[in-house]
Amino acid sequence: MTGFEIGGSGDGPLDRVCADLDPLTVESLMALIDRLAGISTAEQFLLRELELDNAYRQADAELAEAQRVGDAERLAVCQRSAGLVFAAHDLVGLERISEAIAKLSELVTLRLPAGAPVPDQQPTEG
Amino acid sequence: MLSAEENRLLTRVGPGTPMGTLLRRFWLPALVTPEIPEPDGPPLRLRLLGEDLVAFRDTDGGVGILDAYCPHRRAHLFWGRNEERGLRCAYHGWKFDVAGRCTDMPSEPATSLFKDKIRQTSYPTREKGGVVWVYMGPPDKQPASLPRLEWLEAPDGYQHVTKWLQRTNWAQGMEGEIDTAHISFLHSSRTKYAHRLVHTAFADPKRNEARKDGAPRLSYQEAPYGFTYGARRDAGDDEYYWRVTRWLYPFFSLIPQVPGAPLVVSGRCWVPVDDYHTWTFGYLAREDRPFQADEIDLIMQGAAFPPRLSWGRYELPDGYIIDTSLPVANRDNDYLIDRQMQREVNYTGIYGANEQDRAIQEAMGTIVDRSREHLGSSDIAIVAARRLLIKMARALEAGQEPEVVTNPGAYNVRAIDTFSGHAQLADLLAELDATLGVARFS
Repeated sequence: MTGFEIGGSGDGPLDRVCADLDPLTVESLMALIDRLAGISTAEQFLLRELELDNAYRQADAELAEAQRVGDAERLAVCQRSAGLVFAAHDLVGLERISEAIAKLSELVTLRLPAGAPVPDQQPTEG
Repeated sequence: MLSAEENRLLTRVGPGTPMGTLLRRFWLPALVTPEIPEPDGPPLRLRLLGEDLVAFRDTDGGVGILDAYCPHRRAHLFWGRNEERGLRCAYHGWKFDVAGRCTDMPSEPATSLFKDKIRQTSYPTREKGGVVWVYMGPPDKQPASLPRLEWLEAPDGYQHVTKWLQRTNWAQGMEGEIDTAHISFLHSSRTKYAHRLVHTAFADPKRNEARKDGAPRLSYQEAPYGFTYGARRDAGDDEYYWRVTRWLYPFFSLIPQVPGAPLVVSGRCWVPVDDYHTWTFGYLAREDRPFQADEIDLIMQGAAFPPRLSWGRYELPDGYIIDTSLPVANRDNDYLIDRQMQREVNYTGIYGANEQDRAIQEAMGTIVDRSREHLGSSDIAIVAARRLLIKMARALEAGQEPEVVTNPGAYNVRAIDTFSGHAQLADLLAELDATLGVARFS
């Protein structure tokens, strides 16, 4: 983690913000889905919302780059990615977690490298 | 970021809007006492939450805040005569007391009882801590007490409160206050020139050393009054330097002060004039004695809060005129930016801390488009304040009243600046919330 480190009032992994260098890798998104599924406090909703803010910042930067380069196929993926992150962010704000997870699961599928197997996107137990 | 819908919810405050309805459940700062100093003095034009109002202090010293327009022909009551326990409309002489009762209607026959049927909209007021407070919500929901903020509970003269106009939506100003990271940039300077009451806070070598840790761990914890957020910096020898800030519903801040410094309270709040303008109230308090005149002169030089001010009238874009304290450095003069100063003295070339803040915030547009921003981890307090307010406004729409308005004692807290071996904010607060973290004046 670089720069600021953020924590809530608890000690557990859900009580801190995971500021991955790239929050839009498949691994980062799968981990975020797990953290969303584990939310049990109002504060944890807020911390997840902040993680999605981080993810959106990255998604929008990718979108701007795709617009600059003018690659239509990449642009479509980036537009969809940014839209899914934005939607998931809003849903977390409304505490509609299962719908937010569905958006992120769609994003995982979208961002898988060509030919890669689709991972099991059910949140990990516990 | 916020969706366009949530941005509207957060920022719109007129009658019937969700946020306007929520804010109307709280006692709101409306005026500072020096604006309306003497009985039967001149009335003031103001606007609060999008409502055009007139304020006056009657013969007995009570403050009335009424709908600005006479119910007869809609003449503005600002032109009226403030005399003998009421404000008399200059147009036809109808007279209203501080409760909005029509006490005289000379344009009607003496036998007419019509005046007894007329009631001008009026809002209850209280006066404490050098501030006139107003309640603009449903009468049956009026909180019995003002929030027990320390600067309000302090004896007269131990606090100093100022008020000024900001030309943005209220949330923009409030978010600037809790934007942790900007202080190291926007407000940095090579030469310290802030007035000495604030300057003292930076004179402790141990704290100065700890502040060099540019990557503090931020911690966040909800509380009945709102939330606390703490910045923890390594201070060596298993010790940490903690700065713990309070954010209190719906828009108050308490910024940590160094123990032993003259000030024990410093903070701001943002009261919506309408969707596009805000009254900022700045409050300071000390606990050892009242402020002296030379100290107030120093504060009013505008190096920090308040900015440099002049009293005047201001025409809002829709033509309504308000009587107010206006920042001398403002959008119309580019905040008196001095590029030489920017090269040699401070980061911005703009003199005062609030002047620097307003230069940034007012240039964002009157209501910033939050769907286009890119927040990061250090923006936790901004995300938290928005989310808590939006949740509370939605809950109220669903019939759930905000509990904090009936819990004035929850506000009796103080921000904390200390060294501690505690690594977790929760542990720090468990130890200190009842000592360093509690207000002395209560």
